[in-house]
Amino acid sequence: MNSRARFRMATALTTSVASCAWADRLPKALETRPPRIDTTREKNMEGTKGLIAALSFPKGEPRLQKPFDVIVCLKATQKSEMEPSFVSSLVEKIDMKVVMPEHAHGMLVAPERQNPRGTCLVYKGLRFHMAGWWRFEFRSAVNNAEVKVTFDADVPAP
Amino acid sequence: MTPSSGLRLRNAWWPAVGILCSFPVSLPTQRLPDGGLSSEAELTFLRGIHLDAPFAARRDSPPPEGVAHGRALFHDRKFSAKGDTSCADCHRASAAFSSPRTVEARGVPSLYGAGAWRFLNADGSADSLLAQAWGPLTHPQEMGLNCTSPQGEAEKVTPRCKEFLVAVSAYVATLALPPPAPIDVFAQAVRSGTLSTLEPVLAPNALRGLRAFVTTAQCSRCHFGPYLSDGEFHNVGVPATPDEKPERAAGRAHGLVRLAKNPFRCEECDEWKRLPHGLGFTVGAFKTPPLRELLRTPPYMHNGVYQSLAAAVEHYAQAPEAVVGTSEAPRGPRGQALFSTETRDDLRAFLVSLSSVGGNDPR
Repeated sequence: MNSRARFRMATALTTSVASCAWADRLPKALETRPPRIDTTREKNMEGTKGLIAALSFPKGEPRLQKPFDVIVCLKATQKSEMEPSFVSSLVEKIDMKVVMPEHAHGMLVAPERQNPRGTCLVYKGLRFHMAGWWRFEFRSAVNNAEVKVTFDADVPAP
Repeated sequence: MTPSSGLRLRNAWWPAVGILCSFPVSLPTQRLPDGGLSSEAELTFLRGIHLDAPFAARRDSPPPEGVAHGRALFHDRKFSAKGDTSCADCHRASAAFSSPRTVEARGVPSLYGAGAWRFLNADGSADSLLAQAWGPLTHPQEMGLNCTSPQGEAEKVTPRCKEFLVAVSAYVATLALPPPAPIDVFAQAVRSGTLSTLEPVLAPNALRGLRAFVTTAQCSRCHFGPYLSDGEFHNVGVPATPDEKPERAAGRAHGLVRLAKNPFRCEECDEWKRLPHGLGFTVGAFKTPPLRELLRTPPYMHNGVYQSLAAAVEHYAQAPEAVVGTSEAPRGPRGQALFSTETRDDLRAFLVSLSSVGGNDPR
């Protein structure tokens, strides 16, 4: 084993306890920024019929280096065959990931996940530390039914 | 022509002079080589580096009292285990309060603007000037003072050390403004509309470098504001130095561990509660260094791996893979360099304009 490999291994061991839970969540490669960032805030959840996810920022569109909160709400439309209780259980299991696909990193803060209220969920204390393209990804899974939705944000330079 | 009409004609040109004088005199402006004065992005960038711009004071800036006492202690070698080291030995005024040496594989950062940051040190292992000063005061390879109170005492830190830390922090907080650099004169002239080609402030290559800094090279995504730093943590794939211990190369991830042990950490702060303990994104990330007084503050990068500005710029032209974690440095398309050799020279010329004094950048 050469010195570089030893160095990598030692560093990995040093930080493994802290980061192992997140290792699979790191973007594997840098993505190219699309010509246009779609900032639609209401989208159909992938893999479902008539389940809408809505993302909102209670204090307006977030700005660079300013703490902000997000609210994500799920709602079943008339087309949907999902029971309201099933939607609520999906909300309870929601997991959020926020990354900069162009730079293969996420946020430098750990937002606080609050208990769901109805079919809405609040994350407090997020902060964009870099201008550019950010992606919010929400996943949930109940009884082998996995749902996912992504929202994009374009944070302007100061 | 009647006498009255002659009078009218003779007086008719005075209003014309008045109208002409009411227009501002149009001075020749210092244009960028391709014609435009500055793009909106450049203007925004130039507005941001204004040192007099309102800049949020730190929540815990020490009071101005005791600044003179702090300055004296800053130079006092008695506050070290062997009586041979003071703060000023590493933070030299002639080197913009930094040093050409490295300590434990860390460059000595300039103290200009240190009071403005939410986190200090390259790995963010301090969240106030007080917490920062604790590190060198007690580190065995620096001042090495034993500041731990004997067991049973209410205070964990000895009163002598605490007095030193408070006074020195008060002094360091006053080192907010570096001397004005050519870029400040240029930015001021752009803001006030008095930029002139008669006495160009920046050389053409530095102007091209400014444009590349904001556009092609994407430097201004992290290097902006009065000190040209966002104060955040990024992994840009800086190579490790031979003497750099693996845990030190973990950057912010390790800095959070160190911060947890700092007796002066701000426990009530929201920032502390929301720090990402365990987030992989922080592995290998280091604080964006300020770019003020660059010529006086070599070596470059958190570990001082590059001795020259040219080498530091070259790093970003072909950003390597990260030693640990994932590098977020932008790369050129299809493995090409992000910018050309000419742009590297222009960028270097622009970086030189961020220093108040000229100097030799060893290539």
